[in-house]
Amino acid sequence: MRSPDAPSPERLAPLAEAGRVATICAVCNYCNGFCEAMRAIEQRGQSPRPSIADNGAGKTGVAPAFSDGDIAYIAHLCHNCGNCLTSCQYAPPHVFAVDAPKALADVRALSWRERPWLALAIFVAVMVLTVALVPWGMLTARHAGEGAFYAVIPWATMTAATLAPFLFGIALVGIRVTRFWRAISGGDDAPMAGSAWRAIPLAIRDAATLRNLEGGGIPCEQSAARRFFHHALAYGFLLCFAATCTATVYHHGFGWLAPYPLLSLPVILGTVGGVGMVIGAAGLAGVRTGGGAAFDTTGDFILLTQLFAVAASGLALLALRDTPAMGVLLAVHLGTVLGFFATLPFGRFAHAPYRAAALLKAAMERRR
Amino acid sequence: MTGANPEQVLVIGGGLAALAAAISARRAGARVTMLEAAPRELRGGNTRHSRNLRIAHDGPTARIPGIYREEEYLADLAKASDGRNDAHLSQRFVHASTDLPDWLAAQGVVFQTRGIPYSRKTAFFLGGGTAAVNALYATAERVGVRILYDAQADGVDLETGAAGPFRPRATVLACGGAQAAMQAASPRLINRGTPYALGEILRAALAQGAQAVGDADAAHLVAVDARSPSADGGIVTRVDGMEYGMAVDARGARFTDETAVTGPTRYATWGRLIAALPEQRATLVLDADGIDRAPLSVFPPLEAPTLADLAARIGADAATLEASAREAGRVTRPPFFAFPIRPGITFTCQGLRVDETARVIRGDGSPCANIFAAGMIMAPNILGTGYVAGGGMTVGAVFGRIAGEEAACHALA
Repeated sequence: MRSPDAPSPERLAPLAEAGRVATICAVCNYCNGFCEAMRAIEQRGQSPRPSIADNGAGKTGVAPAFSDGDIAYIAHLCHNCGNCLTSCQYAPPHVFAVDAPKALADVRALSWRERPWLALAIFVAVMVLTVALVPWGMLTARHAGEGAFYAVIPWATMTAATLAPFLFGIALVGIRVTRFWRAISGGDDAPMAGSAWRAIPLAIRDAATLRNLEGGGIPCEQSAARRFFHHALAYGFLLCFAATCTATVYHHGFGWLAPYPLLSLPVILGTVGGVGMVIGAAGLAGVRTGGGAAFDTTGDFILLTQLFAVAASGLALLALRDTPAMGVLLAVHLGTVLGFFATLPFGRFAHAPYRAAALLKAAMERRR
Repeated sequence: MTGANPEQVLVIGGGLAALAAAISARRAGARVTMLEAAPRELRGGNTRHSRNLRIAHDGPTARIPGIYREEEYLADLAKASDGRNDAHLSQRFVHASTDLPDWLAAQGVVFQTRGIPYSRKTAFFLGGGTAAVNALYATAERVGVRILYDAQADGVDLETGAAGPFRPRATVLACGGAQAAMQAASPRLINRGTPYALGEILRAALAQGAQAVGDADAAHLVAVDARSPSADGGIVTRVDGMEYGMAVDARGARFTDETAVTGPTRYATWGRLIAALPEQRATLVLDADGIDRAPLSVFPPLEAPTLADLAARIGADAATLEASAREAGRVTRPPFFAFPIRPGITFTCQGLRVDETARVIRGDGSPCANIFAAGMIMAPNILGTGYVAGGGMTVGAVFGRIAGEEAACHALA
């Protein structure tokens, strides 16, 4: 399995087009007040650059103003608010055909490849294994009280099955984002000096508020809705993660076994988070459908579908946990979660750490 | 909105002046139709390529730092126009500029206050002129201006205000200069601005006896890359950085001291110098050091290992080019790079004389009863054949407002 970050011919076209567009943007610079991506373009367009490139064959030429690392950095800074396109004097039908949001989205898309069939296969495998291994009577019985879930699927099995792909995914994303950080730092090997630590709060604020979706003060028609739904989805996800962590403490710290009462912390966190995720995922998909984005958003829909399935199956499990449907729903929820974890490191869920890294770099540049 | 001609005020044009006139007239209570010659995607005239407005202010404001007093503004206008501007009208204009940012902001235009070069004389549109155009069109639509795209008006009757099938009570001429027509007449020039500024309305008004201001042969020119599109190239086609290399004519000879052309007016100075050359073309030549110092260009440079090879690429004489390099002393280290240059027209400098109500003045000095003009079609009243940065946009907005209000007043009287 080739890493999607590895160079290949199909990478070159999006990088070249984004480089062309960024060069026009840097010279024009009218949009520099919109966002961090445009500010970064401005900064790179103005800073002294080594122009003469030696391609090794003794032939020289002018190096592009933007390195591939620069382009990747700018692409991951772009929140796709669309203001620079609607404000562009060079947008199609102008012969320069500048469409920065699309050019940068095409570059971002190089960083991930969705694997919906892998997720689906894992889901089916979990269902088949559950049906095959768990006695039918046990699966469809009504379970109640502490440890009800583990009567269907043993705790050790469940933990091992989820933890392994989760840790594997985190490690892989970590490696890829580290590589991305090196590429956007461009050999600048002292980035974690004092400025970085002071920049961290700024980066956290930018990531937490999606400030760059504000378009510098000209709100696009959909930015408010997109911000709301993304917040619902992202914070919902974090609440669900918090629910899982709380439940882990309950389990290991206090020896309390799930399912937990409706008014317990894990259930409240998970319910609020799950509802947020369902609303957020459905809303973002709706905004995408209505927005008529000019570029391929299939990958967005795949991720949104996965997150929706994880949250909706979790809520269904909660609602019907005292009924005979619990066993099957548990398998459904486990299958969607496992499928999500297994595809997480390759897909665009990784946009979160990529964007966080790019925002941190941008905050460091602002503080310089 | 009906298909018949419902308008009391007709606005011919689609840039800042036309939008300011249409919105003002509509807000004053008139039914307004606006004729934009361009399709919707290319609406906005030269405004879509603009970025700032020149504004007088007695102290720092939320949108402009420092102080730029009306007297200083007037002095700048007198200097730029060689004293050929209308002093009384200029005074009214400069004073009216002071509340323009507030008015435009109230019409939805957003200004940029951070991340711009320090400028105590101008206010910047956030996102540039196209963003401002979008905001103003949205407002015009919201308040009920009827906007027709692809609606090129061929003429106007100075006695009645009629234009084509339209029979308004008052007509505002706000359709810009004639840069597209000038380019058609001199194909060596490149039109940086809108290709829809054909100048028919200007010619029609002059043919009916309207008084001209400015100069029919004058235009605001800048040095642009010869590979620019024939129109609508805007700001990114400008060539800059001559002081880091040398500018040579078609033969390869230098024609001025490159290091002496500096400051914000250097683009226009180079435009004039190159337009004055017999072939109306030049080449910027840079060496390996110069290319590092010159600002980024959207066009890749032509490149050659020796000056003789470069001369062959640009069609110059090798010996002349080498002699020029020795003389300039800044073009020494290979490889060598070249950017071909042409004069680019921003706008033309002939317009219609107007009075302080923006009414068009006839040759005998009498004002037309119901014909008003705003924007570049009357800017020479204020700018002569010169230019000050951000001045054109302010002329458009100030006289657009005046013309719109006066036209509505006339139409509703």
